[in-house]
Amino acid sequence: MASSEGAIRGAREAGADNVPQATLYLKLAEEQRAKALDLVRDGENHRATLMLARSEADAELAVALARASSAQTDAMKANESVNELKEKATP
Amino acid sequence: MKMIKLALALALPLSACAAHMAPKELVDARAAYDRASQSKAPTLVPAELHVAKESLDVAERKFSDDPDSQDVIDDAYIAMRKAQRAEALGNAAAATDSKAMAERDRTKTQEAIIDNQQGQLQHAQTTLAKTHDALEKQKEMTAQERQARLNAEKKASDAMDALSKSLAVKADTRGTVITLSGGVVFATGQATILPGAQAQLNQVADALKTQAEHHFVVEGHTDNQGTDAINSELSTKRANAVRDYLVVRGVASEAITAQGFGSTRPGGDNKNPEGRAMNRRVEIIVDRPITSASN
Repeated sequence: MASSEGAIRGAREAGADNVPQATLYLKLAEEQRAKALDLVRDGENHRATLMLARSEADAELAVALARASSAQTDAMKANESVNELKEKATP
Repeated sequence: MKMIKLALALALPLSACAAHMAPKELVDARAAYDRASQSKAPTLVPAELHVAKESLDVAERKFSDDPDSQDVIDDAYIAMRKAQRAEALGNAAAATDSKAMAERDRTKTQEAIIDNQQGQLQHAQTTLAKTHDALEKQKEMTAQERQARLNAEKKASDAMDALSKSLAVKADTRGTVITLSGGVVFATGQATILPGAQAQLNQVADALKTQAEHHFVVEGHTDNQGTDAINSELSTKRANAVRDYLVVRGVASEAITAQGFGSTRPGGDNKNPEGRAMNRRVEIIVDRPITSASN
């Protein structure tokens, strides 16, 4: 239960809310966590455990996608910057 | 018979597998893992890909043990997400590498720009230093030339001042005029310079040699005794004799000319002996220097 909650919090901290692809998986993670809580209430503990694992996997994917997006943006900016510098340096 | 039994033994499990097709989640998980295996993940994040593989193996085992179990669907779902995560982390690592490479490239480019600018600056400084040196030399030369000119002008002025103490030296519209008495320099009716006049002429030659950038004209004049033709010829010969003597004494030949005027330009009254003596003369005119005139 706690690992799923931590993974969702980690995804938000990684900026998943601002990356469209990551947002989808963050939303899935929250939905599956909610389902897991329902299953716990219904006494279906085994299914609840698996649902929490699904939630955690979704949240971790959201983190990875947010990181990849951020890294790709940074790389693009760095490459644009160096290309701009090279153009200026060329007489 | 043995062959039939073997065929039956093989056919039974195959028919069982055919009856239990893999659920969509497991099929998707396998595809996701294949895609991750072909991405940058094996090279850049092999551990994450390994985790995805282990997760997929769990799902496959559960499918093999109990194909209809809900656990298979959940584990396949989780395996798919782990494969997608490995691929995403591979992309993130590749982007991080790309950024690092761009930053190194940027540093190198900046260093090259700085080197180039330093080179240009050094070249400009060298050029400036050379120009400064040349200017200093030019100034020095100009100062030396100016000093040399002042010295020459002083020497010329001193020479003319010294000359004026022993000879008639005056200034008129033609320039500075040095007058030699005809009776002192020549015998009557002759154009040969008397030995006694040589000291005076030597003094004149020395003074003229100091007059750089000047032109000199030696003018011969007579009184009105005798015919104009004779007087003209005599005055011309006397002017030439003085010119030649001065050239021999070192005055530049191209700077000095001679001309006879006979009795046409008297300096005194031809009616009395004193006036006629004044008219028998040789004048040396020092032109005004062109450079001084322009200054």
